[in-house]
Amino acid sequence: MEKGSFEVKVGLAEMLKGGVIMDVTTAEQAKIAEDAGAVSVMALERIPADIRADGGIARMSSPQVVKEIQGNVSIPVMAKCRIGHFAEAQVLESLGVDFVDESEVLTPADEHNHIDKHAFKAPFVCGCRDLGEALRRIGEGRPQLCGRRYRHACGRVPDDAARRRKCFRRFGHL
Amino acid sequence: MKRVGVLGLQGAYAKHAAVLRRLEIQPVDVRRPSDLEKCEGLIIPGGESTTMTKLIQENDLYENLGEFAREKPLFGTCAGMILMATQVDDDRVRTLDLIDMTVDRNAYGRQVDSFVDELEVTADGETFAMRGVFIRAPRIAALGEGVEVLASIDDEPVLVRQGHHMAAAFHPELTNETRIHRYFSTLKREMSVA
Repeated sequence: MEKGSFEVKVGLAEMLKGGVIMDVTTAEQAKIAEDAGAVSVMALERIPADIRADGGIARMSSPQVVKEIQGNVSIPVMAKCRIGHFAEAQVLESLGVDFVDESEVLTPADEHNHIDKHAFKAPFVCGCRDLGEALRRIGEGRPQLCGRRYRHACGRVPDDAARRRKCFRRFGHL
Repeated sequence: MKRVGVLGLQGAYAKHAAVLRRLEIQPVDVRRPSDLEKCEGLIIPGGESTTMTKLIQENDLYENLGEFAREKPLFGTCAGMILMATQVDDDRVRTLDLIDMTVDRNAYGRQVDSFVDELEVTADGETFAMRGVFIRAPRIAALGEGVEVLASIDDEPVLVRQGHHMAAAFHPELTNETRIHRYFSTLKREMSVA
């Protein structure tokens, strides 16, 4: 029996297709998301843009909150960690988080290197702005892609859509 | 079967459609009751059973699926298997009551416990080995008498058939395996025990 292989990581990503993954900061919010039909919830400490605006460092959620969320819902629980912060990712993995989001909305811990995701049993999801970033993240062992604006969630949908389209088009060329 | 529906509300529907195409069976994306008219059988894919329950309700599919299942074969994998059961350990999930079994959700643990294991499948008098991919898999806690076990792991059933319906705790659509889908495509209503 093998666990934590790329096959089972991609497998969970397949199961989430066509569903909504809701950002939540408390167990109560997670329950609301599940009752509303979410396929998964993503644990956040606070709205990262707010933390940054206050001049703070946006980190992973407290392990206590992640545990409370896991205890309150039956759908997969994801959590964000800082880019390059493998220790946060290890904590999340040991908590049994179903997906780790190495997220550019948190404050990066390493400006140059992402986490070596092959070393983990838990699957990762990361954002990307173009094909180069996407391929680099896949090389590091990420089974799920997510088109993203960098750093600030500002809700500029046309920018976001254009970026995604560019990314998919280049995948098509490959 | 020449045309098989795949419930396309949420989950791994695209992977099932790809396996069907390899068998030269035309997949039909089923999202509305009228989509069922074109299908000779239906696959309910893996995904989240709580989400699927909501979407099946929203799309008024429960009654139509029940009616469809009386005449035609259904195959549920993972979350789909949960929906095929007569009993589930979560009252938020509404099942279709097609296979006499009790199923526990996520009974093998979280994603870090998801696994791949060797399976021995016996179907149609033929036995073969294949790899079974189990993702946050459900577990069959109890089986009724009329249910045939086609594969097990450590004496626990993971692939079962009752009459013209079939269910798997694992994901044959995630491997290069086509034999499970091919077997499903041979099921007929006459196989039902009256």
